[in-house]
Amino acid sequence: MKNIRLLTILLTSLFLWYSCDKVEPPYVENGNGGELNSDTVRKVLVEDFTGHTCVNCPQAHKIIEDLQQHYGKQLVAVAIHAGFFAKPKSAPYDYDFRTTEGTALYNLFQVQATPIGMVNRVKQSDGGYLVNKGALASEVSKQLDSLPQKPDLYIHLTPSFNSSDSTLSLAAEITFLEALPSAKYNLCIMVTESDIVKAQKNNDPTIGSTPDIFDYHHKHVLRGMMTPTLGEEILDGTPGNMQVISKSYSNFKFGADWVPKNCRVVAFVYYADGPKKYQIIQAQEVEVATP
Amino acid sequence: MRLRISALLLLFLGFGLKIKAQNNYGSVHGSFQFDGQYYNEDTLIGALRPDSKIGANGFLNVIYTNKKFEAGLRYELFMPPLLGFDPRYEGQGIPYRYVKYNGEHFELTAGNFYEQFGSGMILRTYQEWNLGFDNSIDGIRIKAKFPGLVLTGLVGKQRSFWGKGEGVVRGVDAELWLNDAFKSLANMNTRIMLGGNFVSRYQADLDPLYKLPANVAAWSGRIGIFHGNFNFNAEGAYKINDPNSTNNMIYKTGNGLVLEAGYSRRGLGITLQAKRVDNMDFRSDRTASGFNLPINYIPAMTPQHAYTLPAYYPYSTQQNGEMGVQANVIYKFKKKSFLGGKYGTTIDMSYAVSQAIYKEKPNDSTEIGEAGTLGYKSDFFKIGDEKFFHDFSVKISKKINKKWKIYLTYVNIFYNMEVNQGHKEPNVYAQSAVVDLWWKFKPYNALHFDFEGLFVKDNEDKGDWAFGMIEYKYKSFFAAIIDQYNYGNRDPLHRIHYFSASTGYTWNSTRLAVTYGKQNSGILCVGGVCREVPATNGFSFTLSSSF
Amino acid sequence: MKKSIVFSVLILTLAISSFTSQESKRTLPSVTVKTLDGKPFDTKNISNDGNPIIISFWATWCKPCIQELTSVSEVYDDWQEETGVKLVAISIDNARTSVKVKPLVNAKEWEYDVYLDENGDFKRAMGVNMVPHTFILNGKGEIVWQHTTFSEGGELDMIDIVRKIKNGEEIK
Repeated sequence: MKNIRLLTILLTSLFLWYSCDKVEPPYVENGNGGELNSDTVRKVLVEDFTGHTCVNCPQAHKIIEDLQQHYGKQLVAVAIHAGFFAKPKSAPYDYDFRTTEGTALYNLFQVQATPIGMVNRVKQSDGGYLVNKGALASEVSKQLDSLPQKPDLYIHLTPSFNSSDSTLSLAAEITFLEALPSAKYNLCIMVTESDIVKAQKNNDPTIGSTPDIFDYHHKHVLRGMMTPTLGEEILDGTPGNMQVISKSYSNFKFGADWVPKNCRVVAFVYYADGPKKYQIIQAQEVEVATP
Repeated sequence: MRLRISALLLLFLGFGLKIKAQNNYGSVHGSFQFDGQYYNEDTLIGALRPDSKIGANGFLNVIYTNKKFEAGLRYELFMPPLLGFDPRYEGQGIPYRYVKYNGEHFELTAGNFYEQFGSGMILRTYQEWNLGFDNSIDGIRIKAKFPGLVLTGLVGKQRSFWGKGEGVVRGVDAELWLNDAFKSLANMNTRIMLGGNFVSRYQADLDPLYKLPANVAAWSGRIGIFHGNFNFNAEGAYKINDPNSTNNMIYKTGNGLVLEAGYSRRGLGITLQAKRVDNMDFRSDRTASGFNLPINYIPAMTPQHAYTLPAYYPYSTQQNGEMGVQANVIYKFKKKSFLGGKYGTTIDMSYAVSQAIYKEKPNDSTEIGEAGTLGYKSDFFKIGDEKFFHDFSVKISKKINKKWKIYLTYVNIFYNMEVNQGHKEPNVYAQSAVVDLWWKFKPYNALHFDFEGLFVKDNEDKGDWAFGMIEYKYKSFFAAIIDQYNYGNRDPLHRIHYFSASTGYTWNSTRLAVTYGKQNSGILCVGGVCREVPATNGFSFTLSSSF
Repeated sequence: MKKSIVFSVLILTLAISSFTSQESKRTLPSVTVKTLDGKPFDTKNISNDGNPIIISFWATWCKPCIQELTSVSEVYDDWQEETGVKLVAISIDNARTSVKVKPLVNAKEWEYDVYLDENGDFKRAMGVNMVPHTFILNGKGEIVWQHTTFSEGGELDMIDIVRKIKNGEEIK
C-alpha cells in the first residue's frame, strides 16, 4: 500500500512538473519589418516548388510573404513551378510557368509533392533537402536569427537591360568577408518575375476565393537562369581574405511576355562539394530595370 | 557500429539454433518477412517503372528472453521501398531495439516500444509493416502493476523514418479496476473501470512569425462499466492550444468524446457507438503531416470490409473535426428454424454515418480557420452541414450443406470526394454486392468463388466495377486468378481489365506467395490518414516466417 | 554491400532453420492482454490443467480466421471430450474494430477463451506476422507446433497434433 502511495506522489509531481503553455493573444510576433540600412547582411534563399493547379500551394505562398514582411531584404524568394501541378491544363490553366532549369531542380532534389520548399538548400535530418510549409518559418529563423548578421560573403550585382533587343547583361562581384574552408564554390544566377496575373487553384478560403483565384498575382516566378542549372564554378580552394571574384554574363534573352520592370536577378553562392554540398552561403537580389 | 550489431545478431542466432534446452541460456525467437516487386511500365493504367525496376522491403525481428530479462531488435531494409511506401524509408538499418525487465510488480523498457493509453485517443504507438507505418517511441517506459491498478509512465521521441521526430513526448496513464482494487467491492456484480492519462509534447518555438506553445498537453478520462450482458465505455479527451500544419496554425483547443454501448448474449450482439472529435490531430512535430509522427490514434468509425470492391472507398477520419455514429447488430438464426436452415444462418447489419462539426467565425473580423487566430467556435451538440460518409451494410453467412458455404454482402456507400481524397470532384453514391461461395468438393480440396460488383451512381469517378476471383485451395497450397474490370468508366479507353494470377504455399509457419499481373491503384488508410498507392504492373512475391 | 551480404546470409540461415528446426520448446511470454470485459490478463496465466492448448490469433476482418474458428467450433465439443484441449482465441483487432469482437463471438456461440490484444503486444512477442496464426502448446505449456494460413481440413491437422501430445509422442 505504501508503495502505491509513494509512486502516486512521485508520478503526480512529475505530472505537475510538465507545464502546458497556454498562449495569450496576440499570437503573431513582430519582426524587423525590413528596416536594415546596410545591404551587407546575411540573406537566405527560400525556394518554393509550386504549381498553378496545386490547391495547397497558396498557403505556402502566404507563409513566404509573411516571412518577407518579417525579415525584409534578408529573405530572397524564388517560386519554382515544376511537376504535375505546374503542367498546363485547359484554360484558364493553360499558361506554362515551367522552365527546364526548374524541372531539373525538381528532379535533382527528389520532389514528390508540392508545396514543398528549401531554405538555403540545407540538408535536413531525414537526409533530404526539402522542408514542408509548416517548417519553413523555423528553418528560416535557424538560418537568420542564430547566425551572425554579417554574411560570410557579399554579392554585388550590376544588371544592364537592353530594351531594344530585350537582353540582359550582368556583372557579378563576389567578396569573401570571412574565412571559409577549402571547397568548390559555385555561383548561380536566376531571373524571376513577379505580378504575373494568372489563375491559381486554391482551397483556403482565408487566402482567397476557392476553388480558383482567377486574378492571382504570382510572385518571384523562376523564368530562367543565366548560368547552367547547377551554376558556374567561381573558386576551387580556400578563399583568400577579402578575395574578390568577378564574373560577367551577357545576352540573356527575355521572353516576349515578360515585364522587365517586374523582374529581378537572384544570385547565390553555394558549396558544390564537401560535407555541406548544396548549402547556400549567401544570396542576393536586385531589380532588373531601374525605373 | 553496424557490423558490431550484425555480429551480435549472429551470436543470438547461434545461441537460439544450437541450444535447445532453455533453462540456462534463455531462448531466441522472432520472425521475418521479405516483399519484392518487379515493375513493368503500363501507361494505360498509370503504372510507372522506377529507375531501379524493382522494389524490396524486408525485416528481421529477433527477441531474446531469459527469465525476467528480454531484449529485441528489428532490422529493416527498403532498397528501394516498394511503390506506395514513403520514399523517405529508403535505406536499411536497425530502427527498433530495446531491453526490458519484466518483474512481478514493475516493468521497465529502455529503447523503442509501443504503447496505447485507453482507446488511443491521446496516445497510441504501433506498427503495421504492410502499411508502412511505425511511430514507436524511443525512450523509457515504466509500468507499475498492483491488484486492480496499473500505472504507466513514459518519455521519449518518436521514430520518423531513419531519424526521430523533433518533439519530446512524455505521459502518464492510470487504469483502476474498482472490483479488484477494493476488497469491499470484490463481489459487486457490476465491474467498473476508471482510467485517465496525461500526455505532453515539448517542441521548441523557433518560429519567427507566431508565438507557439512549446509544451502542448492533452489529457483524457475514461470509464468502463460491465454488467452481465451489457457494457458501456466512454472516453473524453482535451488538448490545449496546438497550432500545427494540419489545422492551419489556429490556437483553438481540441476535444474528443467517444461513447460505446453494447449488449450481447448467445446468438445476438448489438453495439452502438458515437464519436465527436474537434481539432484532435496531435503529433510529435507540429509541422508533420500524413502518416508521419502522430502521437494519437482516432480510428474511423466505419466497418472494415474484407472484400475488394466494398473497400474501394474507405473513409478517412477527419481528426480536426467530425462527428458520427455507428450501430451494428449480429444475429444468428437458430438451426432448424425457418431462416436458419439446417446449420443456422448469421446476419450482420451495420449503419455508420460521419458528418462535419458545426463551425462559426470566432469573431466578426476573422474568417473560419484563419491562421494565427482562434480559428473558429463550435457548439458541441450542433451538427455541421457537410456529410462526409455513410455506409449501410448487410452480410449473410450460411452453410448450405457439407460441401457448400455462401456469404452474401450488400453495401450502400456515400463518399464525400473532396473531404476524403482532397480533390474537388463530385461526391460518390455507390452500392456494392458480393457473392462469396466455397465448394468443398473433396476432403482437403476447396474451390472458392468471389464475385463482386460496385455500382456508382451516374458513373462518377471511375464508374462501375466488376470483380471476379476463382481460387483453388488444397491443404497448404493455393492458386487464384483475379480480374477486376472497370466496365463503367466514362472514358472507353479506360475500361480496363486488371488481370492477375497468384499462387502460394505454406510450410508450417513459413509462407511464400507470388503474384503476377496488373494491380489497380488504391487508397491505404492508417488510423484516419489515407494515402494513395499507385497502380502497378508486374511480378511480386512475399516470403514470411516465424521461428 | 557488406550489409546486404550479412543480411542475406541471415535470411538464408533463418529460412533453413525454420524448415528444419524443431520448435525451440519455448513457453508463453508474459504480456498483458484484455478479457472481453476489458479486464487485464497476463498471458503467462494461460493454462489448461496439464492438457494441450491451442492458441489462435485472429481478427474480425480476417475471413480465413473466422473460417478456422468456425470449423473448429463445429467439432470443439468432441475434441474437448476426447483430449481435454482448450482453444484460446487472441483477437488482434485494434480500437477501430475491437468493439465488434464480443458481439461476434457471442452471436457465433463460440465457446473459446477470447482475449483482446488491441495494440499487438502479444502478437509481436509471439513473432506473428499475419493472421491466422495458430500455436499448439503441450501439457507443460511449451510451444510444439505453429502454423499460418488456414485451408479446408486444416483443423484435422490440429487435432492430429493434439492427439500426439496426449499420447506422449514427439512432435516434429
